[in-house]
Amino acid sequence: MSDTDFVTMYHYLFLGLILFLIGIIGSIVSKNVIKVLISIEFMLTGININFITFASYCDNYKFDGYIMALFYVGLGAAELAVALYIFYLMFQKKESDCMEDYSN
Amino acid sequence: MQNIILDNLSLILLLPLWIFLIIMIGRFFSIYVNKKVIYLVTLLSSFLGICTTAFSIANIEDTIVWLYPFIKINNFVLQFGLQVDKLSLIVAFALFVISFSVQLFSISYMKNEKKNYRFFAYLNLFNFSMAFLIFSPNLFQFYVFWELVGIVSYLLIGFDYKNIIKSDASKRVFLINRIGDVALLTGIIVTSYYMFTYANKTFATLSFEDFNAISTFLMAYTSTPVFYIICGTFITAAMVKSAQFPFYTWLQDAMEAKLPVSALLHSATMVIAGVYLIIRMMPFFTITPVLMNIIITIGILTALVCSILASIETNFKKILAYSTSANLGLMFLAIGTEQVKAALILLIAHAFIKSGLFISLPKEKKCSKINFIFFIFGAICLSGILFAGIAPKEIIFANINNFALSLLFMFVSFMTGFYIIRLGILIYKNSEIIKDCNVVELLSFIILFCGNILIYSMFRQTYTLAEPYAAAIGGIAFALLLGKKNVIEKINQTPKFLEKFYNNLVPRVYDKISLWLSFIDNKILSNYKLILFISKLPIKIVDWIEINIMNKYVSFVSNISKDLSRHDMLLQNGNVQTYNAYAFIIVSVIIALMIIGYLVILR
Repeated sequence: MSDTDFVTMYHYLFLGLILFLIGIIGSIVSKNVIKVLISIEFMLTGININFITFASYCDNYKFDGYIMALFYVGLGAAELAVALYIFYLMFQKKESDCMEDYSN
Repeated sequence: MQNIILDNLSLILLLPLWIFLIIMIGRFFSIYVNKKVIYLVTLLSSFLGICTTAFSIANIEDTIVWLYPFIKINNFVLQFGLQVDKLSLIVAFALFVISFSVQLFSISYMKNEKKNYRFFAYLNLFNFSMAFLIFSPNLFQFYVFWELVGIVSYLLIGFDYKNIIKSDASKRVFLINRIGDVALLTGIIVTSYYMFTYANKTFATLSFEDFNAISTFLMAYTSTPVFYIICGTFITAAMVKSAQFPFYTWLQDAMEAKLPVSALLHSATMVIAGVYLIIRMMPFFTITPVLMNIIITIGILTALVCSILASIETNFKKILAYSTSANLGLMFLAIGTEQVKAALILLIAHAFIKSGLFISLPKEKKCSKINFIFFIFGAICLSGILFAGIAPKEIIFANINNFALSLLFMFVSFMTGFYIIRLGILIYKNSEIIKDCNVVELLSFIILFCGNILIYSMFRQTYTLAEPYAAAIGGIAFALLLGKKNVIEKINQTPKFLEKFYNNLVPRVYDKISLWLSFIDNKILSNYKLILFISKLPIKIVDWIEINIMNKYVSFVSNISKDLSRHDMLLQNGNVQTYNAYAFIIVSVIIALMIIGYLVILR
């Protein structure tokens, strides 16, 4: 972690931010439900990258950040499973994967 | 020990108010107090009242006054508080004993009634207001609780508010009571005004302790007719509350109430407020013999008229109501002959006897044997032959100097014996006598008769006169004689001149006044265009303001909100993603603001 490094902490943070923004904008804009779910995963990934960045650059002695990131991956998987099941049920009911059909 | 009880008298007197508030406010927030708890607490509060007042009577020597400033206007300080002396303690003791026994009675009487918690709450409110009326140190507090007692009477008479007869009766009672209230208020205001402007300003609060000074000052600073008018307002107030001659009709209407209410309010405790007012304000009336003569006239007139009417009436409760009016008239007579002690003894003895009589009346044409025995016992007491009834009649008769007056008094005691035994015969003939009796009711009779005998033993003295007893025994014998020949039942029409007078007077006078006013309107005022124009001008101005300013302002506000809501409707489209976008924008704005603030602080 020196100033001469080509890849600094801020590059990683920027990557996380970009991923998060892509996720948010995707979840707002996209019409397809699957796309929304994917965008949510993007957001999770962006946050995860933040965790790992701070763990590797600022904290030399503990593994809190890495463990948190692992938990987060598990959490994301579980959440996605729930979301997919809800999507499955909604699809059976509405017979469409367009977000606008789900609004009422 | 004595000081502890006397100091905490106000707490015990306030207990019924708390119970009333707990029951009523609890119902308002739909918290339901258990009925047994209500009964227990109500009885306990009256019992504590009995204990403290009895203890205080035994221990009190001087008048004790507690005062708390209530309203301050410059140097006029209106104070509320308690004035504890022998008179008020004895009356309060009678009040608490009677209300205890009547509450005990009404537990069994009101058992099957719907919403009877309301009844007990009102009884508690009555206890509170009557106790504070008795202990009030000045006329202002007296007036407040005087009104409150009237309101409780109205509420209790109209307890079955869905029954139109009862609710009408309660309204009539309240309206006739208003006459007395207005008279009392007028008297208070005028007296206070005179005291404030002409005399010492501390007298302006009309404390009962200063009444000697107040009456002499008032006599000195006003002309005689004005003084008589002021005293007349007080006498009128007392007359209305104590159901004296022109106003006794409200007591007949009050008999529509439940039996316990009649036993507590309209025979024993509420109606004595007028007599109590006159006893408290004695210096006003002793100052000239004219006022005393007026009081004597009112008293004896009421006693005569009401005892004659009582011996014609057939409704049981109304007979007792007439008898109450007659006895209150005798109290007025006693006060008029300056026998305040006799009036007080008669007041308490009558309270005990009359509430006992009311309680032992038959219910739904069934009268248990013990009730009937108690009734006859009370009837003989009332006619002045047994126990508590003896002493007052003796003292009153001994102090009447006028021959005609003593003759009238004899006639009244004759009539008392006659109508009360006549009522006994009516009950015996019209209702079936059954053997079983209610233990709780029996207990309340026994308490009342213990009070009766207590009064007798407290004021016992040697008796020398025979005329009132002879008259009363003659009346009883006459009633028994008539009862044997079945003459009593034949009369069933009571003359109701005063009722008709009140029913016709007010609407007719009102109609006449409004007719004249409409005549003035139609015939005189409407013929002049200037007057029409002037009378219509304000309406036109108001119309213009309403159309051009108020309406536009209101429509402007409503249009703004309408537009805003139309725009807002587009935003609220029910799509999750839109809300997500709003959340994102708002959160990013907040974070941006936080960052800006952070930078500003750092710099």
